[in-house]
Amino acid sequence: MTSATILGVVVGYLLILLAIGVWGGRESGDLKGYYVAGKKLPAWVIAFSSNATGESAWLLLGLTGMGYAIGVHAFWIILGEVLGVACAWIWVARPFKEYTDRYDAITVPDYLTERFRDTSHVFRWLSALIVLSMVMAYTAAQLTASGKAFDSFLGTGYTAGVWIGLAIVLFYTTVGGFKAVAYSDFLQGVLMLGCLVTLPIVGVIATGGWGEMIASLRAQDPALLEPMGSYGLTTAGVISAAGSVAIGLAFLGSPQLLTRFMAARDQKQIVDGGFWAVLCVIGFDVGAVFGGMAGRTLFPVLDDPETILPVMSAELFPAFFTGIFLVVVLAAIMSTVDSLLILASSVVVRDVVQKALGSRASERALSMLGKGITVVIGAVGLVVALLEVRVIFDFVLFAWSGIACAFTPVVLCSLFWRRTTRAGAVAGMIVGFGTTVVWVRMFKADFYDLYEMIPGFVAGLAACVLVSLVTRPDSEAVAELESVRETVGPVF
Amino acid sequence: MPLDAWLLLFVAVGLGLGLELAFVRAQRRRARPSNPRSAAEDDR
Repeated sequence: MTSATILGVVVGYLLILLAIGVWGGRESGDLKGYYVAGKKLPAWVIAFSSNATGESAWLLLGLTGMGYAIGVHAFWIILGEVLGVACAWIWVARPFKEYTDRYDAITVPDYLTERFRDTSHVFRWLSALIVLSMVMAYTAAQLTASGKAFDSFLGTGYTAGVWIGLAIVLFYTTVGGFKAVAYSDFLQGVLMLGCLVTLPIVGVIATGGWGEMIASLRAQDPALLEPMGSYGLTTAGVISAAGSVAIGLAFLGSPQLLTRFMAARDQKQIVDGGFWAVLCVIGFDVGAVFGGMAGRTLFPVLDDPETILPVMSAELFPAFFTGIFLVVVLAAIMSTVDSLLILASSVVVRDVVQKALGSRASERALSMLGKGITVVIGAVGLVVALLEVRVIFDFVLFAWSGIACAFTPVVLCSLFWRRTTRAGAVAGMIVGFGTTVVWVRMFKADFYDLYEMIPGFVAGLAACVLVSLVTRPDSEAVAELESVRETVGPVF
Repeated sequence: MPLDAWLLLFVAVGLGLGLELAFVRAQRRRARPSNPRSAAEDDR
């Protein structure tokens, strides 16, 4: 009976996703429709969709696990993510939207190519290389999580869980395109928010109240209530806190998030959406950390802290809500996979096939090709997930930060610094990405596990600035930046 | 929970919300037409 209830909730949710896919299909007949929903999305959709994409299963399993394992030291992550989301919506979104509307750009490499008057397509090839390698690894990792989630909640077996997760995502992504992806992400974001607001409230009540929870945590380990955690005010503590804050940098320039700004109906949607996005990320992160802390009080001896959310959902809630919690874990996985698949497909079809290789195929034919590429990339992710290819899974360690460090410094310089040149931007992308990979592989363990986002971002920014200073910027591009600045107007 | 933990949480939440609210207010003020008298003078 319990399994039937959970199964009913999951099937109901999956049917809604399929319906969203069919509904979104009307917009996906050309490339602009398929990849940016015709640039018609309202504020509330881009707000929830960007946060749901930015927070994968890591939010539900990883951040609740951190609340469980390190307590209030995880508040530094809240600071980083809230600031990252706020700064992205306040400073990055409007000039980026203005530029991409002027260029009629539908991908981030489209924007970089036009912004730097690049005729060699170097941004398109470089982006394709970075995005494809990282997306395959990250998709495979998320599909692995899907297999484990289906198996642990419904006993489907790992292989069947991977297949079911991918089949649903592929259906609504290929049929409905970015419109289906954005609206399903909205639904998934709302579900995640509801779950993460409910979890700590029920958890704290179950512990006997706020005072009881804090007393229990203090009795277990006083460091759980210290902002600098068990490190104290030491080099390791400061580096750990700085690494947590740096997580927010990814929100400023990752292409899967910038696509949401591009797809907004107009500038007003960005002004209106920012407030919802900030509220949403506060609800996500505060709920996850306090949920984990309540879980530590209730179930203090878990082998794996990252299982605290499934354990709490099974122990504290009736079967229907356990089904909802499974749906929320699936939602976090799917909202990331769908966005990555469509990002990789856009880079292949728009940037490589249509622009770099100069295909003269019709928009309709290219849109069909885009759907085919989405399936192929998903299939590669499936094979990697099923065979558990070790080399590919090593990429997951730096997939998120690798994409962020390749694009964020360059996008920020291109929007705010008139001296940025094409050569500087190329150098910034290569050095930012390369430093992330090298740091994880060779230096991270020897430097207090410093999160690779910091050296990757700093090196990418330094390369972009230094190379730009020794090369000459395009005068038209400089004038255009002034014009964009004037159109967008001051922030405050 | 110790005071410094509360402080960190309030800084995280307050900074994000405060910046965003200031931004929205500034943008709405910019979007509104300036005072009616100066608009009428502009028309003349």
